Amino acid sequence: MSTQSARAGEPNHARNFAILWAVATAIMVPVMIWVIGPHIPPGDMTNDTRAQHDVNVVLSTLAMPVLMMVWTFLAYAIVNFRAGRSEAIADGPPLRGGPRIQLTWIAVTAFMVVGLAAYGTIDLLTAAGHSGVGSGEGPNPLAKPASAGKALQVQVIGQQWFWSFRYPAYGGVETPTLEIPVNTDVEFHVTSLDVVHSFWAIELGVKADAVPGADNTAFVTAYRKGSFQIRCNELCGLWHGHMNSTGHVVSGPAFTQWIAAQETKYAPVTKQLPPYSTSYYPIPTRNG
Amino acid sequence: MSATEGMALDREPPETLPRNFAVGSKLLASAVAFFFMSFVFAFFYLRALNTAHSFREPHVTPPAGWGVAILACVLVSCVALEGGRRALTDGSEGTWRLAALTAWLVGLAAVALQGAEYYNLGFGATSGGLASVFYGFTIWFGVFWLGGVYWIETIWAQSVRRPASPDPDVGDPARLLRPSADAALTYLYMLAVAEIVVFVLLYLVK
Amino acid sequence: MESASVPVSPGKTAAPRLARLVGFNVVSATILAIVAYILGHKLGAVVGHHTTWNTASDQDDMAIFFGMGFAILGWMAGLGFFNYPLGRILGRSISLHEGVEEGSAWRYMRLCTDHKVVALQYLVATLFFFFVAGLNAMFIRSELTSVHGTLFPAGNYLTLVGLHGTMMLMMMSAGVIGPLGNYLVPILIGTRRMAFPRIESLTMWLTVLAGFVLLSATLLGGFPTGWTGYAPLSDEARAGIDAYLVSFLLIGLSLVLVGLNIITTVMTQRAPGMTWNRLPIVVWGFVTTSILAVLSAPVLAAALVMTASDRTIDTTFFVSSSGGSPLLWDELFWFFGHPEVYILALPGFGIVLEILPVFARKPLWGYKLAVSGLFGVALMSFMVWQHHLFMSGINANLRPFYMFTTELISIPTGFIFLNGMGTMWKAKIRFTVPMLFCMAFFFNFLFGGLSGVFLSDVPSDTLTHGSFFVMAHFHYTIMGGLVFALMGGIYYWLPKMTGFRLNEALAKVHFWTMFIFFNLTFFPLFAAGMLGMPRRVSSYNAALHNLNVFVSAMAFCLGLSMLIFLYNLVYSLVFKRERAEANPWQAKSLEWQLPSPVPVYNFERLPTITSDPYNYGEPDAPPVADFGRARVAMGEAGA
Repeated sequence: MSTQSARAGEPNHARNFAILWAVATAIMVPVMIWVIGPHIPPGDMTNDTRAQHDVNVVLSTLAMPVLMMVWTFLAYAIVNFRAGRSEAIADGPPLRGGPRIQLTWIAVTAFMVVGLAAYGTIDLLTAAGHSGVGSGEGPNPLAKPASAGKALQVQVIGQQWFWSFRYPAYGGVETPTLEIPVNTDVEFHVTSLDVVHSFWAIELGVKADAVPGADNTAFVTAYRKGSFQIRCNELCGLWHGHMNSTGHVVSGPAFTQWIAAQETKYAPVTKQLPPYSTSYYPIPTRNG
Repeated sequence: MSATEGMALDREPPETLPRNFAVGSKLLASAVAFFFMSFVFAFFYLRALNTAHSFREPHVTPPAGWGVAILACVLVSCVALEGGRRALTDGSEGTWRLAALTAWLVGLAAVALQGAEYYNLGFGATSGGLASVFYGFTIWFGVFWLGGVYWIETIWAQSVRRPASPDPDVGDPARLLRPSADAALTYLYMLAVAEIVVFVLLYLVK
Repeated sequence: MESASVPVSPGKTAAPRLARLVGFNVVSATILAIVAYILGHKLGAVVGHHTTWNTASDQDDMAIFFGMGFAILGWMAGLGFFNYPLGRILGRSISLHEGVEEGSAWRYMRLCTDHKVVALQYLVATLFFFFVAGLNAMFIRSELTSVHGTLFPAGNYLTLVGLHGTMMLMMMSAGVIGPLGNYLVPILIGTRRMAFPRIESLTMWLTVLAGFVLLSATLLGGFPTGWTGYAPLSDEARAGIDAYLVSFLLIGLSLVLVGLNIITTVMTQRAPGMTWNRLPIVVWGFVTTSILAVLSAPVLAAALVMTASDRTIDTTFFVSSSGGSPLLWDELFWFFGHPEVYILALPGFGIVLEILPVFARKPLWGYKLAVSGLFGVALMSFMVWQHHLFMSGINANLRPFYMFTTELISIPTGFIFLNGMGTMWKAKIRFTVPMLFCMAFFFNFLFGGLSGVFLSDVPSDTLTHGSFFVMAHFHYTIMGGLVFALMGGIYYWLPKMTGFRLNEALAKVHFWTMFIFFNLTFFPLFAAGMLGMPRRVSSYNAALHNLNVFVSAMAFCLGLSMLIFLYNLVYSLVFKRERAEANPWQAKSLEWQLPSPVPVYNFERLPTITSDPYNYGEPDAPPVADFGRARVAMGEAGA
């Protein structure tokens, strides 16, 4: 496009557009990194949320040149490439394509996209201490922190329309509230008793679908004490929107105290529960 | 009756309809193939997951005899129609009519056999993953195969009745017999492949 | 809408008005469908009693499926769709025309093989259901103005959510290839008919039936699964889900048949001189959409019938305690679901790239790039579907692969932007309403596409999956992209299709209000999702209350802007009826060289194509087609 010989007096559109684009990008990139970036969710309570936050800032920043390119172009076209006000309809120049520009575009977009995929993969597998960034990884996680298997195991059981939590290391006690100790590696095993739910511990940065008959593993380490929302993230029936509770990150000693109290309180219930298992089935009642 | 009677419109090229049939039947076969591939996927996926160890329950053993009988009818039907198609090319319409009649009658027998099989299975639909796939696969194969049988019958009926077409773009319907048979065979061969896959997965694989 | 130039064949006078009601038309179809439903329901109850062990249910799914099955047959019979197939059993000849000859407006009430009639029927039907679904959206946003929604009972709210999503997706899948595909494809390639005209009409009438079947869910207790129908919630839901299953099945069938028809027509009926690189880009859009429709819809159909069999003959496809798995539904549904969203998006790309050259007065920049972009998107859309399942506990080894393929699909998607920018470069842009919608397409789709990049990155998706961020993403791509393109296409082509002009002032008001309020409604939802608001809830974090109230207010304004559009349609087409000239846009493509509205036979002489339609600015360029070459080949059967 820019190599078309310009008629005398015609502005160098390519150069003008490039300058405007560069300026807009130069403004928006730092704004995104330093002004907007810090406010992008999901906060810094855990290793997972910090990793997710960093990814979001990177992606938002990389989006800026693209956004500015299209916006600058549209604005430039609206201002400079209008038809005249005359009655007669004049045609524009018969430009059908430019192989160099197309190849450059393909190469640049391919490079960006492949780079993003590589970045995403490396991030998923290694960030946050190989925790899988809090996502549900299924029964055989690929990204496992060093403490996998030895971390605090918490089973999250979803059912219509209620979350309960089972601690196999503490006699398999099942509690209606979730508490985890700070600065401790936690390993969630998410499952369901009926339909598909999704365990979203928002400020914890953990999201894992609860599928009946399946075991969905997610890892997190919380760095600050506080509370976090738990919401169901997969439509599961009438009260899906009310399947909420609040979890707490507490100090180590507070946790030990709490879990001991839960064991005592729910001892009669624990006797009735089925043994701890990664998935639970109802007793079959069908005939062939 | 053409809406353009009274106007001097030119006709569309005569090869249009045969080409419509050829392309259309390939697309139809592709679509139906993807439908059946979903059940193939279900078979392998549920077999791999084996949730609650209930993919293949002990009493679920599809009776191979029935499977062979149904598959045989399907294959005979296809072979008969193929023979009929070749007879058409050679110009022997009598042979074609006999072959086509055989094809759709034997095809109908396949559907009847499939229906009868359900009373002789020894397991119901609730008997685990394999049973579910079995019922799903075979019921829908029956439906699509019946559609194929209908198709053969209509082409056979055309050659028996030899109607004139009211539509100038269609012209002499006899010229469309061979393209119709070609198109139907594309669809039926795809179904035959599906039935072979059904047979292997449901009756043979342990 | 009348083709007064076609003489009615002698001896066939138009039947007296009242007598026309008795015949194969939509009225008979409705009556027969209802009667058949009742009969089928009774039969199904008997069958169910003998084949299932669930006899005590107050909602007999077997009876309902039988009822709906019979109703479908009754509907088709009432419209006359069985006449030809049954006749064929008795050896009746192949015929290509039906219902074209009599009267004018009544053709729109029945089976008519004129593709232009089918297109306008489709337009009315899809717009009707579009507005119904839009009304549902207004109800949803009303519920969300309060933190713990109390406007609707929980089941009703979920049904509204499901109806909105399902109806929009069903109707908008057909929403472009139905009206515009059926209208334009034969004309633009220089032929008189679609390859299978009767099937074309069938797909339209099945779409109408599907919409009403879906609405009947409200009479059966609603359905709680949303448009994605996740199992085993679908297995355990009340009978309203049967309506969802049947209606979606009808749409799936319709999609396969429409796609089959379009591909066959384009492959076999192009006029002489219509080489592949002269094919208008909008036709390429329809062709690639059709490939997706033909191959992905059958997988949806399989998943739907699996659910239906779980609910009737008690198979256990999705019941994990009996050898099934909910993940099976997820896999099958999304294998369809992802191509489905490209079935929605690709026609929009085609429309925009077709309209842009006309108002930029420049050729389409990068034609081959555009075509390869469309094909690239279409083919790759079959390889990305597990990105909907990143959090579902699928095999963790697969996630990097699907992250890669999903990122990769943004390469061909990006071509569209290069084509658009290249076409607008140094152009002489006329800011007509269709052009405004096309430019808005690029603005909106950019947000949609960029947010897709976030969602394709698994670490980022951990935050945003299943939240309002996803909602914003797909509303930006589908509404901001497809619906805006469709609006542009409607304003552009309606004068050709109907012969009447639409009011320009109203159109401009519609555009600006729609554009502004669309962005104000959906942009904040990116934030809502990131701040922790899941989808399909009526109860959310109180901190998000003000944001939701704002969004709802903007959504109501967006709804009002759509009413302006509706008003324009009714005012211009029913009351004002100001004649449109044959080529109001001075476009060079083939349809604009014909009268408005196009006569029933399209072309007196089948044309010979001499150029692509984009040779603006080329001084000695030939016209797009030569109509003078009389290919007189009068058939032997007499003319």
